[in-house]
Amino acid sequence: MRRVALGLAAGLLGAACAIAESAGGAGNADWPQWAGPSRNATASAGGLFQGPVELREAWRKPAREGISALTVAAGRLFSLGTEAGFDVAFALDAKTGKELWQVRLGPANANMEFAVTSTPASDGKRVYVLGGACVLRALEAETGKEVWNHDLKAEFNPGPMANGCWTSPLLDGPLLVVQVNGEPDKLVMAFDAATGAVKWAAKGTIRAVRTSPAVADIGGVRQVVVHEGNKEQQGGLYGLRLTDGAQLWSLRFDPVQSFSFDTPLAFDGDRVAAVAWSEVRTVQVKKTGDAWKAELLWSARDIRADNQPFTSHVVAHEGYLYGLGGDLLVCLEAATGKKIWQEKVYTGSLILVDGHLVVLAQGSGLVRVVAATPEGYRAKLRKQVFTPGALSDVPPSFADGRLYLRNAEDLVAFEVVKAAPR
Amino acid sequence: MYMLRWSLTIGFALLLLAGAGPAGAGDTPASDWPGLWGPHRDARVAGPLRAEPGMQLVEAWRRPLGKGYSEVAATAGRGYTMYSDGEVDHLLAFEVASGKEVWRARMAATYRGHGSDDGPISTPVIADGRVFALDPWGVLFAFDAAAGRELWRRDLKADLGAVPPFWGFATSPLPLGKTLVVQAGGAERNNLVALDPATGKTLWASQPAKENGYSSPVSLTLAGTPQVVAATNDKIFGVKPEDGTVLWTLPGIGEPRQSPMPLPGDRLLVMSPDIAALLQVTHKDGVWQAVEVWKKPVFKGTYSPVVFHQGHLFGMNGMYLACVDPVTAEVKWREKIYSASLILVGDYLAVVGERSGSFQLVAATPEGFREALRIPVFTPGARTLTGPMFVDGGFLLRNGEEMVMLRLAPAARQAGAKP
Repeated sequence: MRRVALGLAAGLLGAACAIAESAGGAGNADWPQWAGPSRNATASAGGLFQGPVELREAWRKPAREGISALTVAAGRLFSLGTEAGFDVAFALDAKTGKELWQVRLGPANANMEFAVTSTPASDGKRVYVLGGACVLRALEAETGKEVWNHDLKAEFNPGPMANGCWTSPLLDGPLLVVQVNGEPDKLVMAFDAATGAVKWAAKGTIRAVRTSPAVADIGGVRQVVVHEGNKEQQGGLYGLRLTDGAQLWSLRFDPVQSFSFDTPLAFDGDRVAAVAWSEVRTVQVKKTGDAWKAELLWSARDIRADNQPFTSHVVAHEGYLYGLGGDLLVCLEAATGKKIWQEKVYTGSLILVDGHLVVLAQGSGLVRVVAATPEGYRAKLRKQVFTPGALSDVPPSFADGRLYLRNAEDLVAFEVVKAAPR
Repeated sequence: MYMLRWSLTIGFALLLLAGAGPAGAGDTPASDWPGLWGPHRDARVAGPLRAEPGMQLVEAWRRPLGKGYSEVAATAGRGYTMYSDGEVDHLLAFEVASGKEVWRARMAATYRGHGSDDGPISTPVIADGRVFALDPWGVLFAFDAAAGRELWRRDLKADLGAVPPFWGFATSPLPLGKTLVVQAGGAERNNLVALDPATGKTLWASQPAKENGYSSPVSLTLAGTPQVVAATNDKIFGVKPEDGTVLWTLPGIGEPRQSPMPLPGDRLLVMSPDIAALLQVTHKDGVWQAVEVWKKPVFKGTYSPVVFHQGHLFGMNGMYLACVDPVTAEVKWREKIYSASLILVGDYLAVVGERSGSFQLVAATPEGFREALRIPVFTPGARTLTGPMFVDGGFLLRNGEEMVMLRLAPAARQAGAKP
């Protein structure tokens, strides 16, 4: 029913939001956290992107400083910004852009080269934010009123975090999972999203300071996948059982080439792609009886994070990986890493919607919609959405038939509408 | 048409040179850009640049180039820069007049995966007929400037114990008298060294700091004493140019990307990615002292130098171009121009956008932001982290794809100009 509404005029979209709101939870058409509903930068849109499409600007407003991405749940858009030295959480009406509330979280990290980076997560009732000197807060989605909080630095000994809390909380059902980096045995923690009660803490293998976790069903077990690579120690990847934080498997990467800010991408059931500064690695996770094993399948420089750390560089679709590396958008065969095609689009970020890549360029202000097909680069749409030169370090979000974009200047929403065939 | 435009712009260039003012002191011709940040390593070139209304920029030539952040070092009509062809790093010698290759020397396999789009970061420098170039692996090469014959090489890491910076070696050597000063960055020894330009042999080594970084040493006079000043993550320091004796040190203010910028009145501006600080150096009763006058995020988030003109500082603060009073750190004005790198030519800031691909001339005045010229040069979205260079009366620009020479021309003769 909602899918039908999405294909119709903008007026009906409001009705769809109202339905979601009355249901009191994040719906299928939401983008409820960093990297979207399934933490894999992928959303469905009920065929909206099939055939010709246009982007119609719904609203645009000045953006606060910061590169926190845009979370959309139950008709509200949530994000963080930095204003006058403080981190601020704010909520907008996703349809109109009208600000519903803002909450001052605490002092921004003054030594941060990048303003606030963490992206909120929301189940529609509450929004979970990490900012303002590393305090994790649950706020009422409707009012911004605080429900609970944990001062991560005061409570869990996260040690030095050179540039504050970069990571974005992961919401999966009733659990909120955060890369707290608490020493010595609380690198990853899960909280009861409703109450803030600690559900489990995992020792982990590596402090994952700059990245955010993914969640996926691998080998029939729902698990949190943690990726980290930093300057000081090896990079690695490991899986924690979602229910209790038990470590299932882990893998270490080459110590030199592993610097990364990227969220791992779980795909094809039992594989994980981890993008580092210099290359992408794909890992096969195997379960034999109770024994888990992870091994490197292949790595390729075609997808890599150099030059644009805080964003989303890779998505998977029907046996292929699509990603950004250097100045190129590429399609790689997922099984082998073999390059199928490439196109120069310069650096940027991408998500997958309805079998289409939505690519936001970092510096030119262009957004492209490209069919995710191994048959070649097929741009369906190319639109100037931001001023060339202004940096776009935030990946797009897609929810309720709208594309939400943020750059250094603007927050903007576009209705995705079917265009008349040419 | 090409020839016509060419001859006209040459004429204008000569006009510029004839008027070169006293700020272009020393023996460097104002037409040269001998290394990082120009003739005096302060990103300033003198001369009455008259970018009057109606004046336009003409593209004299454009040529493909590979990845790299290296500036061009140019003297006597020839330019030198480094780039990666995707597999190998090269030192390229070319004619400034045409952009045509004169010779090219293969350096080493491209240093991958450490930012800088994989290309070389350091800027070559020319002195006494030799070109010195440091690749990202930390191998310092000396070439015969005329023919490109390799004279010597030294591996800063293997020979001098340099700590490799995470993103690769970025520092640019500093020719000084009969030495070549290199911020090798050794933790225990050879933090700063002077080499014999003829042989590469170490003449002196100094240990004012323990860390390495991405900035380069500068030569200047503070409190009446010539010295070499440099910055690392842990220290900012001045040493004697003749033997490296440490004169003064001050704790660092974070990982420097830029060289310390000399200012009149025995002052220095130092920067990290997050903050800028103004230092005052004094020498009284035999005691050297360096103090922080202010430390404020008035300039940050940039690789661009901050330039000094008309008693004010002009530089980037993220996406803003800012004019700051160095005495008070007061921001006189700021204008959103997006990330960019700049130099000062005459009374104008020459600015190239990091992502916009555009080139601007902006009046360097505390009175307010005034743009004199703006033209598109590079593809929007492509990354340009190398600032403009002023060579032979023209603006030389490079990014990871191309190199372009722009010359000023009167508007009436603009016909046929591109783009």
